[in-house]
Amino acid sequence: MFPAFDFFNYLFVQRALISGLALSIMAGVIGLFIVLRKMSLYPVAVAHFSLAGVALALALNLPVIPLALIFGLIAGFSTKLFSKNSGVSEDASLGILFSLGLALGIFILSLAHVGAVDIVTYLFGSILAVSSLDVIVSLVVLAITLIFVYLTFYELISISFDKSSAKVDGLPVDAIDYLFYGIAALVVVSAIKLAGVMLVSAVVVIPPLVALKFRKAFFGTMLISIAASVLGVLGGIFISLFIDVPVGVSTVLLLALFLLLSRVLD
Amino acid sequence: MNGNSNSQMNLGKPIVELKHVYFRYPGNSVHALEDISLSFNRGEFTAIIGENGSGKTTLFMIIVGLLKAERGQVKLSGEDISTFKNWHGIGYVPQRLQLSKHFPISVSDFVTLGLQSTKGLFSKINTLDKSRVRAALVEVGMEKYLDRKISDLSGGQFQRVLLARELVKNPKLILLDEPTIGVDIKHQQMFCCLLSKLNKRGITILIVTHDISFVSYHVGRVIGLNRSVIFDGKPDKLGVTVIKKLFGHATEYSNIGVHCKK
Repeated sequence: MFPAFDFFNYLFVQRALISGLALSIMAGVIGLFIVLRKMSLYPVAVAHFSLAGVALALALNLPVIPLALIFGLIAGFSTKLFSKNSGVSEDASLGILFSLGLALGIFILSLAHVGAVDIVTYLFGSILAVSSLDVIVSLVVLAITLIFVYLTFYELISISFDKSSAKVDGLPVDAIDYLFYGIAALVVVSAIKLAGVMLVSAVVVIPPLVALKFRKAFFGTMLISIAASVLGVLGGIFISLFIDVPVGVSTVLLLALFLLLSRVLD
Repeated sequence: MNGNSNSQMNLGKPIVELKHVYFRYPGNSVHALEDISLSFNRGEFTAIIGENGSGKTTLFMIIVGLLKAERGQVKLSGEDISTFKNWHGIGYVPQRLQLSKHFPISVSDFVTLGLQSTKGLFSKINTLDKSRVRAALVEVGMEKYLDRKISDLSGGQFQRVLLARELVKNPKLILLDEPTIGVDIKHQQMFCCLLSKLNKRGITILIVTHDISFVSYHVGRVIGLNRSVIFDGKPDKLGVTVIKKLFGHATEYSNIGVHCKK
């Protein structure tokens, strides 16, 4: 057998591949709505705010992803609450959450004297870091994402196209929005071990941008977005098996290449 | 959420009624609307005209519940807007130029968005729904474009698809915000005739425009707005003095849309 395929026998590779496949599918789906709603800063803010949860978990020696998910959800719901009630625009809320989460994370890490190596794993992603619990979390979040999008497909499209018309239609826009913000936060945070806090937003945003260049109708665009995401993430995992770079880095570079090709071939 | 929108509309009352409505945007010292009292009866075709910033779109947004009046009362079919539930009976077409035509969606899926809102959450589209979507597109003359993407349509064609998205809900009232802006004369005429046809079928139509040519032929009533109501009457009573008051200069208006096909 070709030596490269020996990697498949390693448990950590299997975990990374399953988790990578799950996260790339959900990122491809949710990312399309995020891009169409012009909220590409959202995954950046959520991921960085979840870093505070990562820091707290490392400091207290608790499971990282559950705590990061809680912080991600706080960031997600705060964004919606801020923009709905405070008169602060959504991009300003996201900018604040991004800095606040990062500052909070570094503050906790400084107090707890957590090693730099640990945190770098979460900043740029690591193929070795994916645990069995992370695989289960990613599969559960994938199931939640697909069920949510299936049940509210037209409502999500309607809100993404024009929120005002959706409100006049009598759709429960706020309720669907809270669910969307929450699920999008879960998608982003469940991907941070593999893709890294600093790089996960690109994994969510680039595949739909590639897909939109193909000028298909909605479902076709979503399928291309998923395909680009799967190719990018699984390709990124393979590259990081052969070259010693964080998987987040190889994935983002590969996705950026797809984006460049989609522009050049257009 | 499901239900027959038309049967629930209270037939005896004006379809829209505003009493002493005031509105001011947050942080703004000047009222965008001052003491607006208007009522619109079923079957009317009314144009609301005025300069940019005269409060036309604000008035629409208050009627459809996107903005809340600071003072005064807004009633839809005799019911206070705060308790009004029958939104499916109302079609609202926002300004086309504010919408992204580059959204990846086919014409049929786009019209389905309007229908979905009448069906309730979690319900799925069936064959009957598809025929309703097709019928709405036939109504606006866009059935040949069913599978096209909205990004491939011209401004005038997209405007008609926006209207079909509302027609599929079978509404009793349609509000259109500047539908003819950026559309060539030929398509403006076609669109005016289309609205006339819908009005003759009993749909109440309110249209915001600053194109006075439009109002001259098709509509039965004109409201001239400049933060308060300056004029309310038939279009033939719209004299130079009123137009000067509304726009700051005299404007001639032509007979666009006279030659509607039967």
